[in-house]
Amino acid sequence: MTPDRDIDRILDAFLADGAHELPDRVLDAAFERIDRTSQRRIARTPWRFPRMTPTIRFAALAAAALAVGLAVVPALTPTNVVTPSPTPAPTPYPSPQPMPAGLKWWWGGDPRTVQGQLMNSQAAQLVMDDGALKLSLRSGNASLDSTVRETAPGVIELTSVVGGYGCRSHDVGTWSYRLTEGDTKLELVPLDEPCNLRFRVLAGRWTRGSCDVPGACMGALSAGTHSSGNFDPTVSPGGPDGVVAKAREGALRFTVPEGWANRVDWLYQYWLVPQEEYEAQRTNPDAPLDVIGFLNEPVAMASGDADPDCFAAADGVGSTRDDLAAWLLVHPGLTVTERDPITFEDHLREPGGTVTARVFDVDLAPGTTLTCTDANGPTVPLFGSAEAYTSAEGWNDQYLRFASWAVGATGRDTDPMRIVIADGLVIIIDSADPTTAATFIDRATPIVESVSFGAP
Amino acid sequence: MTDELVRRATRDQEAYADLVRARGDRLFGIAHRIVRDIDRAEDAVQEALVIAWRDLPALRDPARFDAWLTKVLVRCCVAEAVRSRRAVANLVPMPLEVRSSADDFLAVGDRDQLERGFRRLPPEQRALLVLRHYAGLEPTEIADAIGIPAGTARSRLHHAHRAMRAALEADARTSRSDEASA
Repeated sequence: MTPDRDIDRILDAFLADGAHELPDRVLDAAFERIDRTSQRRIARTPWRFPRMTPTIRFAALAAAALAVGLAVVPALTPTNVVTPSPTPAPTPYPSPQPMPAGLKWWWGGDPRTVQGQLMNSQAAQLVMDDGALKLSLRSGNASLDSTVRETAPGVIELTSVVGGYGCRSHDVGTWSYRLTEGDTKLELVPLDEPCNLRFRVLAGRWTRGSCDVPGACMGALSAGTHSSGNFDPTVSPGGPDGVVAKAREGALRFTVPEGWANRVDWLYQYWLVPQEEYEAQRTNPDAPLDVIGFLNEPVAMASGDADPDCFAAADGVGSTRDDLAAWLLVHPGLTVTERDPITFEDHLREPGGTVTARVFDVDLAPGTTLTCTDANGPTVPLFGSAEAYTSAEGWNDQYLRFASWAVGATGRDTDPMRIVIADGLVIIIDSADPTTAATFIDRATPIVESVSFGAP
Repeated sequence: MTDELVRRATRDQEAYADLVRARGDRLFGIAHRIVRDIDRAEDAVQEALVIAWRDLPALRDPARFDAWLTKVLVRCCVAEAVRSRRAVANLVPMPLEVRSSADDFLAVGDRDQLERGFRRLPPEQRALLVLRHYAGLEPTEIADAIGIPAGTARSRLHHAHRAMRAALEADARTSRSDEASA
């Protein structure tokens, strides 16, 4: 073990090295983008709606009807008919500009049909990537990969990167865009689009992803089936494919009703939380959070009597489903009841395959005195996410990542939760408030039961 | 003085430019150490500056500008690191730029080992260690900068140190095994 003071000194010296000076061109590029970025003003709710004269009201209704009409055009027309713009064309820039900063988000759209296949709300998600000036559709089958440039105020030019689905590589389409509602809504209207897929998919209204770290979570979810963007649920303990977790888009699929959000979508952790709690925590990090947590490469954690910080793997416990289940069932700090197993569709390891998970209701054992440093009350660490790696000695070397889960630490002597264990994955249904845990478990269990891995 | 500049920057691009130009090197230093790549660090800083400009009117207390800007930067670095990990999949590249410092406390071999160990940490943990050991922030300041309670910051920092130690020890075991099998 490296003593604390040494690791401090080592890190001080190590992190002293590296770049220190920001090149001027980075600032220049940022200021160039800022020139085109409006500041977000705090919205003020009017005391009452402004009064409309009948004429104005009619004009507003006509404009709304036109907008709706433009949005449904691609769904109704067999060819890429372009509706003439009702307003004068904006003056083009002398040369095309990079993708507008206001578009560089993830955008979610309503389900839509493409090539006879229904794209759910997860698939109908545009990723406007900053670095590569890229627009792509978050769907493994129908990629819209295109580069994006702004050719005039409110007008973007899309160039296909790859062909297929009625589009050719380098097809160039021109679209008008409009950001509304504090830049959270995006309306796209085709002006000239030879690529049929883009024409059918893009037109209409999109809602900006609400994750505070774009790309690291989905934020609020609409009712329906969704899938993960980064999380990899298939890291097999002891398997040669599990050297390092790989980002696997669409690997974890699940169905939620209204009222849920995705808070974390990392390689090794995925969290689903009630939407109202997600919103509350964005402004107050201390707000309680009920979580359906997915943790890959799980290992059993040592209790505080073996490691006061509760940040060490338990000795002698394997990492297969049955190893972890056997450890859990005899844990002296826990009461554990095994329930009926759940079988998930698993199309990642084997097309049409399944994986069976064991399910447990877990709580603190009455009177347990186990706890951890910094914990509030009785606490029993359960699982950590550990990255396994190959060593010359063989498999099963691993080190713990930051992620870990414990039962307890609520200041109470009870903290019921439900644990689902499969090979290489644990799912934890954990309420911040023990008194409402049963309700949360009932609410969360159907979502867990809907889980599958990969596309069917 | 800074408070006044922050207030002006909520409506004046030139004031904003003055405000962030003075902080550019510090931001870049933090970003480079978190994402471990010059290009990605530049991207993260650029993104942070644009987001900060966009959201500045929502900052209620100008005195908190530096902590708030650091928070924006750390989020951009984490996002950049996530994208980076997606791009490189399971590759663990060697450092692109390891300059020897005046303090030659660490040998090249140690630096390589540290680089590997540091890259193994999740970006959130890297950010904590960079804010502590490079930016020199106290745990309470780190808490403020990344928007978590002070106790949580202390606990996470502690875990980050332990994870770094574990990564180093794992790397050392692998190296020893490699040497033995050679």
